[in-house]
Amino acid sequence: MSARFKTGDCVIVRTDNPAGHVRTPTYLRGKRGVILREFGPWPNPEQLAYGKPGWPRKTNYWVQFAMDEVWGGSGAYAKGDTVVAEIYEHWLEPDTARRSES
Amino acid sequence: MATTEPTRKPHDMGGDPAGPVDTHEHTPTLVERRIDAMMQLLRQKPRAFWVTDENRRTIESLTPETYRDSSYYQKWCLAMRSLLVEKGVLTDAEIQTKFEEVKARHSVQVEGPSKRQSKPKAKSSMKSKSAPRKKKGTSP
Repeated sequence: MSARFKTGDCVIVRTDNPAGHVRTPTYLRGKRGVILREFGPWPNPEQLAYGKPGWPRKTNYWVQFAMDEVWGGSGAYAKGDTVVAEIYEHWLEPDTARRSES
Repeated sequence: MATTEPTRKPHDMGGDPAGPVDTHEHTPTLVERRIDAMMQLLRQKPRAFWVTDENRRTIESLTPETYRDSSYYQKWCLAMRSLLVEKGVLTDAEIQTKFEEVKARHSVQVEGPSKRQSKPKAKSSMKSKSAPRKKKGTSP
């Protein structure tokens, strides 16, 4: 399977709220980030968590978010700070409102 | 985004007020090392009763109170217990029976010097399983 996104692509984290084990923290859902790195396909942890083999595999990415985007300007962080999270492809949508930052 | 609240589990705490985080390292205690060893044995291939994602899922399913009040390795213990039952390795009744047995042995040991018995590994692992609950703080 080929990766849907590449380094520098702008993405939005899905706002889904499924029951069960997921690896996408709530505080990042709906937030806009940029693909920092692509790690290729991995067994889906949301399936592995229930004793299943994790097929189909999901591409995993490092996604970088501006702290301002995540916390809306409130919080003890410095201007320009970012947070990077591992997010699987099925949690990401292309951010069509923004151009690629590559 | 309000829809994200209902199923948010206790581990998913990013953004919650928490105060400063203690990032000091500490030397693992004997109990912690035993729990770590048990987990490694239970997850060693080809036996591998479960994978890390199942462990995470089980820990995330703890009640918010238990999650908050349990240490890292206590959470591992609780996860081990429930996964051992889930996977059919042990029954809850077997674990309870062993707990009682260990409890009784401990009350005997108070009277005299500890009687060290060399037991098969599986049994001695059950012994230390109860340690974090009943005899916390006994390790160096």
